[in-house]
Amino acid sequence: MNLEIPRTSVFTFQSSVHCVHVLSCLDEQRRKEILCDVTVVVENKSYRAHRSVLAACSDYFHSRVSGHAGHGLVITLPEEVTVDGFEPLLQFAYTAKLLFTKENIVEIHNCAEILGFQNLDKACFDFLIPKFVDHGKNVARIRRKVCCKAKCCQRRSCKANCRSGADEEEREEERADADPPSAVGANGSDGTPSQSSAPVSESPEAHGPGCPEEHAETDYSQLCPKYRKFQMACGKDRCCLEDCGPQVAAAPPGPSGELCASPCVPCAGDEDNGAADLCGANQPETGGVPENEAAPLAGCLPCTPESSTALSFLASPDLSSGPPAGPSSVSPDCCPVGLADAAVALEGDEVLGCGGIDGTAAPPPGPEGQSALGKAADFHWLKHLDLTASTGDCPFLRDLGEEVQLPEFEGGAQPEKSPCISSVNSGDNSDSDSEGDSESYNSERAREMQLPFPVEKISSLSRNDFQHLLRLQSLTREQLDFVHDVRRRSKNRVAAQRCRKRKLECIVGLEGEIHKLRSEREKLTQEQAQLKRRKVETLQSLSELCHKVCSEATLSPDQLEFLAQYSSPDCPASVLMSSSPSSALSLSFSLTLQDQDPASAGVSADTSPSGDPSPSGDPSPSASASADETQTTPSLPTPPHQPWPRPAPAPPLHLPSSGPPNAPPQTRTAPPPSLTSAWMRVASVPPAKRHRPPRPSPSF
Amino acid sequence: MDGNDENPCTAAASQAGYVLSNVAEVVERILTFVPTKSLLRTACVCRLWRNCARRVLRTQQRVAWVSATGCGSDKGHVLHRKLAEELENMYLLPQTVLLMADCGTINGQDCCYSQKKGGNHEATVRKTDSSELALELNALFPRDCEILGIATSGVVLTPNGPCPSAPQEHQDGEAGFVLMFPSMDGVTVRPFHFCKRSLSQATLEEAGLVGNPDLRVVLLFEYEVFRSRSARFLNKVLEPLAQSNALIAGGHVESVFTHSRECCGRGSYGMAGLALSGARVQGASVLLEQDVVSEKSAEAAVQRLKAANLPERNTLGLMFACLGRGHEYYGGKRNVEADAFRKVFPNTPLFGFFGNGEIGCDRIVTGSYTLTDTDTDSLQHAYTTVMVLVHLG
Repeated sequence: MNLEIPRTSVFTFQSSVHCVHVLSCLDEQRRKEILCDVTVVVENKSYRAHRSVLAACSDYFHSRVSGHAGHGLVITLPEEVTVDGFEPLLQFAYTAKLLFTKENIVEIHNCAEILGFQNLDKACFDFLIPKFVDHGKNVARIRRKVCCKAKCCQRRSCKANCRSGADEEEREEERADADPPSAVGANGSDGTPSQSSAPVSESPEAHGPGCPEEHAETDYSQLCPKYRKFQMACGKDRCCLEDCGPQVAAAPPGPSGELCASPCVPCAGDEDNGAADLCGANQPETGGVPENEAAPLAGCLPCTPESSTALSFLASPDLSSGPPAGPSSVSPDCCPVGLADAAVALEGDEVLGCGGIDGTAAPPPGPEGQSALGKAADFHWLKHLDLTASTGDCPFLRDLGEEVQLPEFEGGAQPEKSPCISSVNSGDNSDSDSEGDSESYNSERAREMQLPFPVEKISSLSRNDFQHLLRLQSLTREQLDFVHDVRRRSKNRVAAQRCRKRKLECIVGLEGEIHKLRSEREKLTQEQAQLKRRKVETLQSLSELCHKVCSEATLSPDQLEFLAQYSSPDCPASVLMSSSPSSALSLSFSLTLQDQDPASAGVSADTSPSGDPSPSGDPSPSASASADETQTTPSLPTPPHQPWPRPAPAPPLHLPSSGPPNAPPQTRTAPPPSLTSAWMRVASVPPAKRHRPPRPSPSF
Repeated sequence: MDGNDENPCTAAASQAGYVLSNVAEVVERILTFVPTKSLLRTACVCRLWRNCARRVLRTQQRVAWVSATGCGSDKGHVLHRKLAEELENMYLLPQTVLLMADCGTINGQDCCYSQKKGGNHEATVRKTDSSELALELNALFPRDCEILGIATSGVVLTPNGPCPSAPQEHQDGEAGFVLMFPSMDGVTVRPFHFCKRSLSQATLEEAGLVGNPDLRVVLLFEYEVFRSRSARFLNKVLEPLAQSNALIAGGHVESVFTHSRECCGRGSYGMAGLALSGARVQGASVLLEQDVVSEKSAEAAVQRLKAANLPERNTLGLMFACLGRGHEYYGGKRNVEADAFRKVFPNTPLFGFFGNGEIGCDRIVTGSYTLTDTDTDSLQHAYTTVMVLVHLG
């Protein structure tokens, strides 16, 4: 600090009521609908609010709102968000107060999680939900929600896998939150939903209102027995993929979620449309929300046509008649295919790894694929035209919406996608999905850029042609950038595809090798077992032979000894030493057990060749040694148990002063009066001679 | 200390004396090993030592406690004896003291006392005795230390020790504990006491119960409130508290003895307690309701307390249970609730009592939010247990 500078006084005025006041004013404005610039639609009910407030309170709204500038924004929330859950949260956003009741706390929790509400401590829910749930009244209700949520989240997790455009970290994140619900889903499909644990550990999320209670109550697997089969198949799939690394663990929910689109469609045909409702957005007819024609269309797009067509034109020819054709036409045929094999997912993977990708990079392979792409493009246009009213209907769309918010990122990250992951768990139709996205994104950008040539040309041309083209056309700086960007990306993409393909081939090769090695190993173990058996047989026959020879020849002990000297210790001829048949019997045991047990070693030592047949003779030194050992072993553990000489206790810590600080009572015990006087002296009667007496009062 | 007393005199001669009378860092370090009572005596030696002692004293911010159980002796309560010993080794200067002891032994002494006197009214006898105890305790603590003494029919305590050992429920037998609050930065512990005469808006405000934005935790102990007129009295205190964002816990106890209680006649009703305020205080409480009858459900309830996610350090557990609970309630199993607490919070000491009724609700009060039940009638309970976690900065 320089003292020369004249000190400027700055005063801080800080109001503690300002923030409260602002918030209450905003709340009033909201209630009077003054300056409201956004409409939030939840379950056909709309709320007016200020987008700045919403964006400040919730991550979800922040991402939804921040991209738009115009007035009259309408945000439709995903179907998991209910009025019961959203209304208190909106109130919280404006008043910082939240009223929980037994009925709405679960909904609020869901909504808060989905919407990413800030300053809402998770501890509150942990604290309150057990209290409310404990009383067991709404267990059934919650269970229903768990079931529904499992479904929704499975689809979402499928979506998470589909988002191959995201980089690995994001992928991890998505999987993290897709994981627990998928576990619940697995529970449910086993037919044993854990009633008690689910509501407590798992805070059930909101569900679509279209979810009919009676059907939701029943299990997913009961609704769709085939689905269960498929899940089992998935389980197998998981087993055989186990060695591919940790990523695979999350894979099954993915494919199952995707394929659930196809098995569910026939179910809808078989059963009433309650089941169809379960399939939610997959069914445009029953999808509800008829406000926007494009909504159900787009809603069904990401799940049904894409995944199923991807399967249909890639996995097997049977499916070419395909689910998109309509539930009625395919109900019987489709199931076995949809559920066909655990390998379907894998196969689809591989095929898509090359075929699907080629398909999208090159001209689209079939009408379905094309339409899917076209719709994807449509859908993106919808998004950009702020027709967001439709997007909330399906979690997919929401996620897509987020994707659209970050198109650059997606495009940039997509080629860098780790080939390992894509080949294992997300490589299937997700590729075509994101390809479609980026493709449509490109074409859209191209339209914005007003390029004089089609976008496809950029990537399809060879290098020389491309240069030539660029020289011919006089492009602006931005256009040039864009063109280079597109070319770089497409090249990248192609390279990544090749890489993936190579990896897949490599994996297939490795699998073959593993298979080969396994069979070889099996063969060898068989051989080993056979050899062992033969060895035992030979040994037996040999000992029998020896016995026979021994009894026939009636050798004298001297001869026996002589024989034993020249026979190897392994040789069963040593049986000749012992004359008693019992020891002859124990021979094979002593051979095998010799070095296992000291006791049996002792026994075999007794019958050992060096000993003479008479038991009264002196035991051989080895036998005595082993006997000693066996005798001493019980006493061996004792020495450690005997008390060790204790180290001298550490001397008490002495202060430089005379006594230890924690003066024991005997040195310092004073009768209560003296004790009190001690406090009193210090506390109240300071020594008068000090001119500034110490005040040991709390005001110290 | 006696040896040190000579050092300043011979400072010039001995090097040690020189260091001890000049190097503040050394002295300060040494003084951190001295129990507070000795520290205060040491502080009288010289100015340097006094300053050092003052700094050391300022670091002693943790709550301490003395618990005593066991066989009574002829001379006074077991807690009194234990306290007299333990206070020598305490590393804090108590500013506020919360004392709870079982009224059973006090009553027992009362009985022989009343026999001698010949059939006095029991309440009056008890009071004389507890006021005697209060006097004795006053003598043990520094003069400006505020003491709130409570006699209840059962005591929950955590035995003394370097690391908290398992808390014990003593529904009968001689037991007691003393919680000592030093002066803590950012935490104000203020005892209060109201009787029917002294209760007014002004006194409520003075006690920091009304119009105190920093109020976080209120521990309330009422006595003799069974009379019909006392309901209004109680509501007058509880109503503003229920609407505030503070955590409220407590119960109906047998008697309260403070040194400032000579305002009302004997046998009149009243209320005493502690108001803990300060931005750093956090608290959470759960109510174990009547349907909590098994170990499992008790643990589940305590788990909810855990879910409040309060810091574990410098945190006290308090438990106010109904007389009717305890081992009879859990099918003969003793110590169920204390064990549940121990299981969930292994490092947090637990104190409390068995009383005639409980005050409390499910609440979380932290620096960033409060979670309260809007139903203000739900503060008083019977056959319940209120479990409280108080984090003191």
